[in-house]
Amino acid sequence: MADRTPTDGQLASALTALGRDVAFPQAPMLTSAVTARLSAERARGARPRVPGLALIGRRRALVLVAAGLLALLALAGATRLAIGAFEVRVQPQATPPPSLPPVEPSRIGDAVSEREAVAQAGFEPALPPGPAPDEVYVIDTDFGDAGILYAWRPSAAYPRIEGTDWGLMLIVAQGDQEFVSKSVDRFDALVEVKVNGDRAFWIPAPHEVSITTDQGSETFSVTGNVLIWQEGDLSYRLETSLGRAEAIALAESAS
Amino acid sequence: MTDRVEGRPLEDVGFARLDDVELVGRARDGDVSAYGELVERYREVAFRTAWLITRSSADADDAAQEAFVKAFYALGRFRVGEAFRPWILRIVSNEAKNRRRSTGRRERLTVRLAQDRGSGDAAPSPETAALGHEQREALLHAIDGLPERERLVVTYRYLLELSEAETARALGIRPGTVKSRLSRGLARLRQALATEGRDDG
Repeated sequence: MADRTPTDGQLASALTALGRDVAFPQAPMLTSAVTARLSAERARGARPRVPGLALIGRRRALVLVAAGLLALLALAGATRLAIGAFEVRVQPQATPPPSLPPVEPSRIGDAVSEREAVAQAGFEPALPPGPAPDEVYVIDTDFGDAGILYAWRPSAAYPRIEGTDWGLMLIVAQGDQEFVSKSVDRFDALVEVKVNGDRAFWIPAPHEVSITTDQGSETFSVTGNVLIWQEGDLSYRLETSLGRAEAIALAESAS
Repeated sequence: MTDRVEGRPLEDVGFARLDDVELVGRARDGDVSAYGELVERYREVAFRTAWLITRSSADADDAAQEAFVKAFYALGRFRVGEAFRPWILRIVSNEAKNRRRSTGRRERLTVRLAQDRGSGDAAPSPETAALGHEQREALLHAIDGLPERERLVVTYRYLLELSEAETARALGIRPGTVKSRLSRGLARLRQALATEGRDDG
């Protein structure tokens, strides 16, 4: 095929035709299973009888949870909250085992230039003023969207995060497909704060974070403090040894 | 086509004459049988959509079933005038991704051509028969080698034959992103095929 490189149009036609020859597994008889489940649930009253009554969306539900139902939900077990691409789960047994490694950017992304990161991700995040990041990584998520991880080496401005080679790490993602999941072991380890007047999370306690890329999922221990906030359709996760007020000021200074 | 009737009460067969808008309206009023017709119409593409993500028949079955159940209760969020197929495929895609993530399954079944099953039940379509078996195999192999972000767009767009708009809706990305990923994906496929050609020649 080297001598007859197909055009986009030819390739598209060949792919479409190829799709008709693909040996997809036999689709199961879903219809009866789905209608039986729905009928059974409705008969039990397990779900609203009218679909429209189930309209509280996940996001709205999460806001309600954050607004005051945390304590009640704690009694029921684990719960989860999310800001953009970042999900936080409160799980009583979530204290990270000491064997978990700290977050290491090179294990979750490909090192690129700042310009290349923006080109690949398709968005340009706001960065804090001051020193430029020492390294930039593109994270390919398993959902197909890219995130960008900016990392700064320890400095006077950004003191070393315990157990890591870094002073500041900032992950930025677009959309609301969660690919970063954090687990904290108690509700008071998750503090609702404001960044630029909007809801944000401050996590000042050690916890674990799972990052799912197109290469799989990796879990790390987090020893620094973490701030998660959102600006437009971008969500940010900052890991730092700075305190809460300084971290929020840093986030609000990003432009 | 016989399975459209098999296992279903005879009175439900009349729903086949209704379009998606009418069925969604009835389902919103709580008519499970009307919703069953929608499931029947889209179960195959839903399963394939899930399978392209999970590469496991069992996981794809679970994901598609769960997605249809969740979608029924979410019909209130379905906008009038919106197409049902990309809407349900978005839910299926998300469910399949969640399932893949929760199972932590790393191994992936490869996409294969029908005749490779050895059953002799399918001849290649005339368009792809012209490509030759090795080239079709090379193309499938190259698709499997694409980064996930491009692989899903290429497979949804071409193997599932969704439009660009449907692909965007199903994957929850912008139409412009679909175009750019398709462009990059096709470029990579072309490059892979060229490499394959050189290696063979």
